Amino acid sequence: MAHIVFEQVTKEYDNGFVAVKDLNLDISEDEFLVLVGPSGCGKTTSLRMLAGLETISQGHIYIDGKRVNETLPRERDIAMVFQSYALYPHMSVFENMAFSLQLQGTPKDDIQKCVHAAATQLGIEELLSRKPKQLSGGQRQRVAVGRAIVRNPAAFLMDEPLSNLDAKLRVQARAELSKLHTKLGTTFIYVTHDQVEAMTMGSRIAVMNKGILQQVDTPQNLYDNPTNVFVAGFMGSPAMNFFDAELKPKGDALWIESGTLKLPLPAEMRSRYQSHVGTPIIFGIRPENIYNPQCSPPGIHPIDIKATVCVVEMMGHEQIVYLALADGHEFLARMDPRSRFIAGETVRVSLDMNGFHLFDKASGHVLT
Amino acid sequence: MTPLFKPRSPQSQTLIGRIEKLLTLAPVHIVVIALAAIWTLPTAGLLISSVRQPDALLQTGWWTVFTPPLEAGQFHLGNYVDVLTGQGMGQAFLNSLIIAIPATVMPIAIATFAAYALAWMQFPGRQLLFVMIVGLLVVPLQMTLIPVLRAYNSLGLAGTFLGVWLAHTGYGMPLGIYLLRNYIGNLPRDLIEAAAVDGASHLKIFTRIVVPLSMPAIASFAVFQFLWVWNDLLVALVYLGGNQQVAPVTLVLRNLVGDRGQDWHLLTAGAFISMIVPLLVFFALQRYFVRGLLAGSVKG
Repeated sequence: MAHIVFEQVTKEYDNGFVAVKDLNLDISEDEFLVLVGPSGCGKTTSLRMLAGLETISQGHIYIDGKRVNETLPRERDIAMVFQSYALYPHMSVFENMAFSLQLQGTPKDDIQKCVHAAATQLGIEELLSRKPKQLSGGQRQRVAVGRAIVRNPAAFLMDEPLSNLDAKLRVQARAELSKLHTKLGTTFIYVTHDQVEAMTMGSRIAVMNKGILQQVDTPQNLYDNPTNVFVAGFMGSPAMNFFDAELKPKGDALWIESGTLKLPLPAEMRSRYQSHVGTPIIFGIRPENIYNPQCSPPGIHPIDIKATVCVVEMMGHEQIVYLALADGHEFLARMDPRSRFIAGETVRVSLDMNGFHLFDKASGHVLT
Repeated sequence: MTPLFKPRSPQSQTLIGRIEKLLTLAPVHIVVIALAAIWTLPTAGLLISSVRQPDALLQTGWWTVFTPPLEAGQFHLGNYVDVLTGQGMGQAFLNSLIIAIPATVMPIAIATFAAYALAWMQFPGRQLLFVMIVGLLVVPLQMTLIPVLRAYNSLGLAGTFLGVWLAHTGYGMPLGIYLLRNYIGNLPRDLIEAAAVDGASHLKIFTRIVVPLSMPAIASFAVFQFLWVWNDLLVALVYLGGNQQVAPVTLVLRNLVGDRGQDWHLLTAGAFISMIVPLLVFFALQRYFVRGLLAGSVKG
């Protein structure tokens, strides 16, 4: 178990490209932290700096209070699972898993015990004598995890370990990794570009974009209270709908206006947003907060608008409806499968005014 | 499940198809067979001549052995016995092995270490060093003969095996480092990094990961270097001088041509002895040999 701290960490390459800028992150023991972001956002670079595979340009990284900037990878007591698994092709599964223990000078009997215990835990005992090229993708992934857990390291670093698996196997492996984390109770730091993996596995999620940490929070908080447009748009699938808008006072009330879309702000929020009247804002609403008026649940604050149905994607348990406003602005709704919308017709849909987000257009930050 | 399109099975390839294939490949086959014949015929002639009686050898060509009657008595191994014992070829054969084996092992050992360092270790001037080594590939061997020999004379290395080993090591290393660096540099980065995180030092990464995975490249370079050293006359002649005690087969064979130019039975037997080892090495390691020719040109 390790307590890991990134303090103002910056990575600048020789060509001047800044991959990570001023990263501050405090990862507690036994946490499952997921670093998520689009490709090139600096998440893998951050992980590699923690592993010691990349030098740190500025700032400090601490593992259990000890500054490790100059510490060699092998002295950091961490294990890493690579995207490619990086199994040693000339060694059997057993030798792959025993490699780190052999290097530590562990007695042979103990190595046998540790490897067999780890293999049993992952269900790969019968594979121990095989070579990596004789294994399937899923088996290789388990061996890579097995190689990490035999050492009983202070922290596990995982760099997109599931991205080479097919969809079905990935769901299964996701649950297994979560279980493994609960069982081992060790710090896991997991890098992925897949927000579903982040949401399902992380005890906390750190969202990065263009080298800058956007927000760190629990999955639910991140989903419910994104601090900026990027996080709001990145987390959730299908993504949140955004409308360029403006707040306009009309009599007592405040209205959100975006082209032909005109929505009254609920009375209790008026004082909160009063100061933003007249500045360009972004109105964001998630597809699941748009309902068919015929099958909307109780407890929402519906405001009906008119829209044209463009495409309906039936998923079985839900349907994704592509809608367009009269001014042509398109948005998505995630609806009850019983709502029988047909492409081409003009319908009324309800927006839940308890579940929208307002962002400042210039800075992208959420309005407070 | 039936596939949409019926795959063409070998049976459905008609006679015309097969003839077509044969005709397109025929020129290639003819050229290859011709080349093989050009190379094989003299070798076969050499082998047959080396086991014939000295008198017969001088009177008729080697192909006449095939004219009937085929007598086993016309062949004998006496030429080999004579050349190995009487002409010093036996000692020379040993000398050649004594020269060639260390002169192969030494550059491989040094070049592999150097290649790893140039590919995977960070140090200032790494690229410059590599470029300089590649540059050495084009330096003609002959340019080094006089300065190196003068240095050897003052160091007392002239005429010793050590001197020849060091010379061959030096001459072989630029190519070795170049080939091996390209191969080792193309090993997956993840493997090296995984080993580093697993707790391996550079030396452990080298011995446990890089060397086992680079065996194909190392073997192909070994074949090159061994054959080059075995067949070398110039380097041995310059650094070993006329000392018969340390002379390799190439030197003895040359002396044989000079002294016994008329004794074809000895020359052919001696020549065949000098060919045996390269032939064995080539046939044993030919797949590495071919891979070695491609090394550096093909990625991965």
